[in-house]
Amino acid sequence: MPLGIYIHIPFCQSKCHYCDFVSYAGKDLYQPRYRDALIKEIQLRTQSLPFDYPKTFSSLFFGGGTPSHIPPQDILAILHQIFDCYSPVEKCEITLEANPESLDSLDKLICYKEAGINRLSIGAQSFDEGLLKRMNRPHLSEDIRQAVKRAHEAGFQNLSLDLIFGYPTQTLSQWQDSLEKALQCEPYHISLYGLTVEGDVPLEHQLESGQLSLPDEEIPISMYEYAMNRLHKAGFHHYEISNWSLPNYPCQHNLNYWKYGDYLGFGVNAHSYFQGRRYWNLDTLESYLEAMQGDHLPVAGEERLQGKELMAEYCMVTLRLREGIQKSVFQNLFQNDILDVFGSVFQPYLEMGCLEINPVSISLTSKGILISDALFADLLAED
Amino acid sequence: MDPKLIRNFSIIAHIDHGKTTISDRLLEVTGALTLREMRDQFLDSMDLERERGITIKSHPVRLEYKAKDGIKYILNLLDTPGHVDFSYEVSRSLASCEGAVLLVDASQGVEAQTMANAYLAIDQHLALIPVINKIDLPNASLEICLNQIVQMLPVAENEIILASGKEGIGITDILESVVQRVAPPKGSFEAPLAALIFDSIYDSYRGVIIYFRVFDGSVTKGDIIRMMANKQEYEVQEVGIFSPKMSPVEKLGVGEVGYLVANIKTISDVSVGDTFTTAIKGRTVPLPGYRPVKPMVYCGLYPAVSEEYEVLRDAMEKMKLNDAAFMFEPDNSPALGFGFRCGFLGLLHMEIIQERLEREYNLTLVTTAPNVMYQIIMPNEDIIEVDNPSKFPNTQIKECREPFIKATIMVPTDYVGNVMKLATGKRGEYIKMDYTDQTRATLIYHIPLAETITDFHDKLKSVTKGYASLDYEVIGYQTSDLVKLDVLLNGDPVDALSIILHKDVAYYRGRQLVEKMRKLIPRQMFEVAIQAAIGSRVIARESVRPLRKDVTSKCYGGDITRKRKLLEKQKEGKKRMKQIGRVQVPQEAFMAVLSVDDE
Repeated sequence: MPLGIYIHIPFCQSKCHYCDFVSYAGKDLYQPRYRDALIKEIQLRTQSLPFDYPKTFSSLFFGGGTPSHIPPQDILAILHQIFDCYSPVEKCEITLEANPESLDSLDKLICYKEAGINRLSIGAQSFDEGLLKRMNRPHLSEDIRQAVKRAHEAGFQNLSLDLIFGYPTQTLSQWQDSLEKALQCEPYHISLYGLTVEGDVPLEHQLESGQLSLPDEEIPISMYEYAMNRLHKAGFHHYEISNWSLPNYPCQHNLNYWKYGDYLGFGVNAHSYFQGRRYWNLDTLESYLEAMQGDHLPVAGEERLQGKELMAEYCMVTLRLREGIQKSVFQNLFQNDILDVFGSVFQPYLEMGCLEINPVSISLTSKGILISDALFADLLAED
Repeated sequence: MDPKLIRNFSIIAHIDHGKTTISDRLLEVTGALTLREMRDQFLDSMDLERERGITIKSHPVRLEYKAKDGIKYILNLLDTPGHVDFSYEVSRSLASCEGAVLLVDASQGVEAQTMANAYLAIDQHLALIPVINKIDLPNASLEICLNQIVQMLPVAENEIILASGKEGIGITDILESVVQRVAPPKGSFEAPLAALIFDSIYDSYRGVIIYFRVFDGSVTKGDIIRMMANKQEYEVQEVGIFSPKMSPVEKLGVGEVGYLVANIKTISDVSVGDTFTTAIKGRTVPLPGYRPVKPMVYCGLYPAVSEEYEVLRDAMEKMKLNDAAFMFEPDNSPALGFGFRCGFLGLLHMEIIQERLEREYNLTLVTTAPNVMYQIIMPNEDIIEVDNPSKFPNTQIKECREPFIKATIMVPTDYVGNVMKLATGKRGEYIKMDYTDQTRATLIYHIPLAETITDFHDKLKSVTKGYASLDYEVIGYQTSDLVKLDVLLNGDPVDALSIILHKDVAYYRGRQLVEKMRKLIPRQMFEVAIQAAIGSRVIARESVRPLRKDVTSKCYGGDITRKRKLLEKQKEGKKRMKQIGRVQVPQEAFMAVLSVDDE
């Protein structure tokens, strides 16, 4: 059973207007304390695992926040602690999320490389200067190209770029242009995120005050459909709702989420799924640091799903993959035929051309992806 | 118990005129529990009353009062509701009393509905004890109040008690007046038992608990009693009094008020207003009950999921037990499945029943828009009563009739213009206007009941800054030019969305209704066409665009729980929707017609 490890770094140079993740701008003073707390959490949590648990991991992901915003020595120290407690499998994927403006020196990148990091996920978001500014991104489009160039120089091949579509004011041609510029960076992997406004973020206020307005849904739909075609032509494989990769380069760490594998999350608000139990850490920097100071595991809550709810969640997660649900895997996990359990929920979606059911699997069609939340909600409502 | 020492009385008051505070003081002075304590003990199930700040159900209380003559009296206080929709409940309480305290707010003056209830009491030969409450308020206008009462009621100025529930002023005066001016119950211990049921509740352990007043004879534990309406007989297991909590006693005789338990499991066997007597040598003629209540407003109540039909039926039977004004019968709607057609006193009554059913029995209900009972005269002069728009005949008819009310509106003269405008807009017919004094006028209008069941009361309050008060009585049916408006979803008429309305407003409201529904029906995976039609003629059309995009890009950092919970929440909302054909229709859409504005 592969194990994924996630490490949350909640520091940023500035806060993007759409961002609802646990991240802080202007709290860099806490970085050393946070590093030490993380190291302690890794030790404590590892001690709490079953003694016979094989402590190997198949992927590791530094997410944020902006992991590249903290000193590379801190990343190094955290990685050392992981390696002290867990051994990587062969070809283990180790990813660091980075922002273009903070990949500002070759030395830094070489340091990452030497530490064992073998994949970078760069938050480009857009190549349009106006849009970057509107999003409050702390970089220009030129910074993205420079960052990619340095990464290549440092020996990173496996690069991923993130782009956002459906942002207020963004036009289809701006989107097409950003996508071309991203492809020119020769990434192995691309994530395209349709904007969702959640939580109390500046963008929400801009929308409320009428300063900005969300585009008609036909605009993000056409952006998404355009990207599907364009990336297909460029040789990319669409393996998950928001993710494309060159053959053999999907993000192993995320695949593990979608395949319902175990993962341990360390750091503020990090989530774990371990042997059927989901749990999550405290979600503010202060409460997390305080808990770690007292040598407490910083767990804020947990749940263990059962029965139909568990099966529904499995479908929700697995259907995000283009390959969909493997019927035999479902049968083995739950001792139930998936169509006996959810056939009636699937039926109308099948009729509308949103689902494809063949003898071995059930998957969303391109049309189905766009309304996948409606299907997931219907699955979850089954009781 | 010697009936000479018993006084049975009610308090009549307009909403907010301080009845609860005064009752509280009466309990305090007589050493019974405070109303607050009582509430904590008994009324927890009626959260709604407290949330809405109104009293709906009657709760009897027995007070022991040592009067100035040195004798200890038993005073039974029967509570009455204050809202205009519940005047029927008032008449029930009054039927068991010999006197009524009439409470008037010193800062508000006499209100239309207080007058109506006062006349109800006078008709039943009750002694009236007028009390001006809240005299401590800085804006109290005693002179005006005193004048109003003397002019409008057969009482002398020196009979009026000045009181303040808040400050505890005049409380003893009220108690003394009750003792001196309310007649002791008449009746004979030798005559066969005659007891009037004025309320009942259902207790899951003890069955039906009957609240009653003895007029003749007495009832003792072990007696076999007979309900006069249906001849059912029961052995009395317990009789008791409200002290104020239920306390068993040996027996209850002439004039006494109390409860009894008799292993009655079938709720429908007990009807409020009925008389019970002894099985052997019993009375043969029931006591004059009170006027049988007629619902004014009808609507359909359907379980959101059909499996809850039985639960709903049981819940409604229990609800009906202590709410004689609530009527229901099974109904089957092609769109909504099995449910019930229900009758209510008014919109507030309807909302309260619906909320109680949902809260106390954990049900999710779909309610259709309320309407009144129409009469359709067929070409052969047959009269069809239509309480459900879907039953409006599609064949040729001779004429339609709708119920009208006589609305009595009391209002400061400054607002007469506004009231007239409102009443005319509601198809009201001006009858007359009287001036109570220089500052207040009483307006009489005949208005179609259908126009007043929804927002008339609220609108009346808002155009008069809250100063107007309303009382109404149904005066009968009048010919009216009515049509049935159907609503079609994707081409299919939905019976539960049909409404009956006056021809003159049909086009305008049809268009408004369809527009409103477009906003209420959520986007679905296909286009939803909404049409309004009169007969085969479509008069308005809107459509809900199909939903093309509902997708989350990212489940961040493995936070699958959050995503799942968001979707589950979204789905909770969907549970309140009813699937009609392929279309999911939210509860609000069935009530959309209520919020169609006439402006």
